[in-house]
Amino acid sequence: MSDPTGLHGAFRQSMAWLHTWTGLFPAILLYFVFVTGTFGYFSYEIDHWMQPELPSQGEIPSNRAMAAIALNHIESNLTEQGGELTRYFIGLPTSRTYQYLMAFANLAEPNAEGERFIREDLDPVTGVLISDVARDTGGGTVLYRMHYALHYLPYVAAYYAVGFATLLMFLAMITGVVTHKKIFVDFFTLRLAKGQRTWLDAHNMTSVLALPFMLMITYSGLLFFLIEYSPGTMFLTIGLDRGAIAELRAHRYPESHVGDTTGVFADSPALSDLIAYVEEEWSDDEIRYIEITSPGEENSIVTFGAVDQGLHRDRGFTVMRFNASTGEILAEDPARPYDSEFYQGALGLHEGRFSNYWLRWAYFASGLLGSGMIATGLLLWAKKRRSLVRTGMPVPRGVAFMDRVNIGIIVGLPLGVAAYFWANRLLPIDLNGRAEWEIHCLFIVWVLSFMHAVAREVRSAWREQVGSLAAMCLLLPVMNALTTEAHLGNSLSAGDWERAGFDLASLVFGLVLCIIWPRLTTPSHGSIESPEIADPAIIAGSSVQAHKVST
Amino acid sequence: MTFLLGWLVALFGKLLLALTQAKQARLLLVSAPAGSYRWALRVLGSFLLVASAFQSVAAYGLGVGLVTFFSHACFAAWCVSLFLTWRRSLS
Repeated sequence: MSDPTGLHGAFRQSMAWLHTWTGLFPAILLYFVFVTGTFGYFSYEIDHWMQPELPSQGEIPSNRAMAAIALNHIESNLTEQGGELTRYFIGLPTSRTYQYLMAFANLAEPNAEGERFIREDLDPVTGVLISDVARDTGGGTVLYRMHYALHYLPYVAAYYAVGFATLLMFLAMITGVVTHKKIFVDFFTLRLAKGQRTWLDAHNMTSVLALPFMLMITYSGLLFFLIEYSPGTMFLTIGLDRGAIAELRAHRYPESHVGDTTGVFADSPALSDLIAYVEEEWSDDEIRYIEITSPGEENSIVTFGAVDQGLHRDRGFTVMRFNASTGEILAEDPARPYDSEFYQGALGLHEGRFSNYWLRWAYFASGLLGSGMIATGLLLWAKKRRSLVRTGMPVPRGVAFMDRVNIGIIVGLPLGVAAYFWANRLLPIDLNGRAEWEIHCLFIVWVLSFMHAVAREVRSAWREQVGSLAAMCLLLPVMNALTTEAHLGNSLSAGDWERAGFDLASLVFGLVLCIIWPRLTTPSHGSIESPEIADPAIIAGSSVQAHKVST
Repeated sequence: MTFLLGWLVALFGKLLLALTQAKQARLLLVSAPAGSYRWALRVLGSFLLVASAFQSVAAYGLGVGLVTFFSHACFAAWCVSLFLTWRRSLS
């Protein structure tokens, strides 16, 4: 057996210390990032649920019909607004993207507002502007965006804060593995009703069993803002030379040369014929977008993009290009260099956009495990401090404070997210700044949760907040049925699994919380607040201290 | 179906690997298996995990297949852990 007081023991003890503080310091931010990011795996489905006025997937017309609607809108409405257009982009609803039609155009000259492009989202059935038919909402996209851009903060400050927290988490995970001495022996172990030991097992299980996901998500998360996090590298290697930057970009994303604008106009084969050809070629895939550059000119190019099928994030999905004048198929883009492939692959892994439904649920569940890992780590830290307090002595203020903060973090944020969904159904449809008010509701409820935790006795606060969360989850489908036509009965009968899945998931969450709720009242089940400790040395990442006690 | 098949193979693999640990095996069997049986279970469990990885790669390609396999391995381990926890609560 190794000597815990020797070099080996001292190393593990240092790692345990580092694990505790690198995990604890950014825990609030990381929990926010994990919870909101987890919802991001179903951002399109949440978008769809939060705009019940939009048609269900079964009602969406053919690609040809939608392309005609979008093209007509671009050529009439957007040309009126922006003058000459140099590029059209039509985003089509698919089973894995937004459920509306996107009409997007680049302008030859900036318009009166100084913008170089116009985007308008349309109802895919009627072609009416979404803003005229559906409620204003941030949807799931806002939750997804919050996990890296936060809210109420400048974008730059937010991604630096998230990046720093992610770096600390990466460190906490590596030190956690070093510290966790019985990683294989305890691999399948969760001992219930053992007080602090139960929380330690839960912390280990949530982190160790999903370790590949945790390592991947933190590492690839850091890669997202690689240049921003290390601006010196770019500056020192290529300086501020625009030509060199363009060269680097061309190296990373090589494209076939598609010709310059000629100003010579030509007749194009009908877009619907090209769509029919692509649909036949991609019989097992869906068209995600259609892009037309230099529309109407001799060297105009029509590009079709398919839904992401591989690990690649941006341009890796299948693309088919045509010369718009002749209908001739153009050469594919050259292969990207390995560094670019690796980078895009890592980003693709992080976002999981390639995933089928099964795999997306696995991503979602892994995100929940990550949130659980942070939550159990926080609870364990507070329990450990509490266990060191002798019987009859007052609990130190710092520990009492953390007990309450833990409630506000762990239950308060999900309460806020539930309030965000409730606000979507309850706020007046014509409220000015409605989408922003939905987000305000999230943060108002989160703050109220902290205030409630401070005002109430700890165990009561846990019970009341978890009970409220369970009620909010269980009643959300009821509220949906009372306020919209897109309720569970209708969505199930229409085969609209995106909306039905949201309601069903809400019910499942509510039921799980109902199972947990009575256990919060029973100390023998390792209750959140119970002060009983069998062995104070058995704490997260401190098997070394256990050695010290035993020797 | 392909996805579920890969997960089931990984689940059996993890279950066999759990049986190689005396502490876990006692929850599932009357007594922990002898050394040579444990070795055989370890080989068979590992083989099933490799088979699950191959099945995922064959079905979804190398990149997505490996991601799928890791999700199978993770959630199979979770199911085994929860099953053992339930067995422990009965004993």
